[in-house]
Amino acid sequence: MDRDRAMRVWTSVALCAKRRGEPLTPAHACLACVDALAVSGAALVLASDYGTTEPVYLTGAGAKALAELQTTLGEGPGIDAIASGTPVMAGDLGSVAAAGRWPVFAPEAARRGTKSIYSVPLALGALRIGALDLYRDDPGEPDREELMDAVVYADTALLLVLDDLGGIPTPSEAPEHAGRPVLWQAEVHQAAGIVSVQLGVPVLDALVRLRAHAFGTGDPLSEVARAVVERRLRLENGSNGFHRRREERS
Amino acid sequence: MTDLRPLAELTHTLVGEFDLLEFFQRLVAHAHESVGVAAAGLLLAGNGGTLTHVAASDEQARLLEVYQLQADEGPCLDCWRTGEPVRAPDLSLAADRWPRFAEEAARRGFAAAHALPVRLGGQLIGGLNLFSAKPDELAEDRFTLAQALADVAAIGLLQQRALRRRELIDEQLRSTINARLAVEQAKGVLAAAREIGVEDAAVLLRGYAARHDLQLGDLAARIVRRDPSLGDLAAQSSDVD
Repeated sequence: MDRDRAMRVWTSVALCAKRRGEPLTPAHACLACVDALAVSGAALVLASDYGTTEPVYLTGAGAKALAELQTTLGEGPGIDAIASGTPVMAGDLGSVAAAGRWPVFAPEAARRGTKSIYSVPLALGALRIGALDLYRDDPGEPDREELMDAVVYADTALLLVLDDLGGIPTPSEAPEHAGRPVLWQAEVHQAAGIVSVQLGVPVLDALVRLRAHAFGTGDPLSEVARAVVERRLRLENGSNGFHRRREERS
Repeated sequence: MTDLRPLAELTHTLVGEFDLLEFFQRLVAHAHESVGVAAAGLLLAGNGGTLTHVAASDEQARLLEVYQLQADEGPCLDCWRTGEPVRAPDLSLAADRWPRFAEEAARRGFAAAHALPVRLGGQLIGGLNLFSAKPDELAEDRFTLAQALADVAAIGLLQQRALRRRELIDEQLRSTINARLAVEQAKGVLAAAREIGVEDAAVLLRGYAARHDLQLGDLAARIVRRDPSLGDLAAQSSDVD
């Protein structure tokens, strides 16, 4: 039962932050992932408006260089992972196949000593938020266990990115996310769609605002979502936060 | 003798680039009719272990399935934990077994529940759940049909996997769940844009996808990204072609 996996991953990320005496950020998901999966580096990249990626959290100079290369070239496994919403494996960057797929990125990455990359998307429904790019100095693909762990690290990074975007500090206790993720509930996504139209913002923004509202009021996200869907709650733009215009309790 | 023609019709849709979400939707509708229960629902496990609701034949069944997941209690959960079918022919006798679920089921108008495991390549990946309005023993022939439909759910996934490049089951389940969430996002967008309820938005979405031969998940993604070519769908009180 993969609650164990989610709990194990969360604990490793929280411990990483604790050891550094830092508040939890997506960077810790990257660092813990590198440790756990024995890869040489990780880059958390966010989807940019220009069809490329923005490196945001990097585990070292090597990862930074490769992430920037991908951004500059507008090609790479992370970009493909974001576009497809599914993991992308580049098992041998020196191969003809890789050069066919990423004509400039692959040979250049291989030249710099990175022989394989696997990239896991940070995606939620139709939202393509970013990717977690994992770099290795040897060719090869991850096995099933490693890939499943990588997906959970990416999910964890996603949660931390959403908190970051919403200005929400992430507590180090395992969130409900480690059990049944509220982020996978239908009503939360319906509410995000509704708020996006009401406020004239992208659905990702709407989701971030819903979470910020829930954090601000102390109400569970699922209840806030239900109130929005039932039209009892309408989020309004505010100068430094979001105010309820009207809330009716039944 | 059970009429298997509707089942054959269902499996005949498994050709070409078929829409998996729409297939699951039709599967549960078919389960509801052919097994003769009030409603049916399908749960699949994303990322190895988190059960997520994927399709239901009506809103009451959907709410009951979601309730089970949130309360972490009920026949579907037991089926998931044991990998064995779970029979609850009379929920009024199930208050000890699942106190919260039994109460919620009664509130939603269900008096019996049966849960069948869905397996793919030997791996347990979800459950098909049947709900009846009256106490229901689910005799052997209906039970067998229900298990066959649970297997058909798995066949749908296998068929999709055969048509795409190599993917792990886990990735496929995750994609399916993301497609489902995209549909929920699109329902919200349409509901607000057209000032209708989310379930009416769902009907609109499915109808549009069917008429234009689009996959639900793809259409949903385009709506979420505000694809301008879908302007007529998102516009308020326009006649949708």
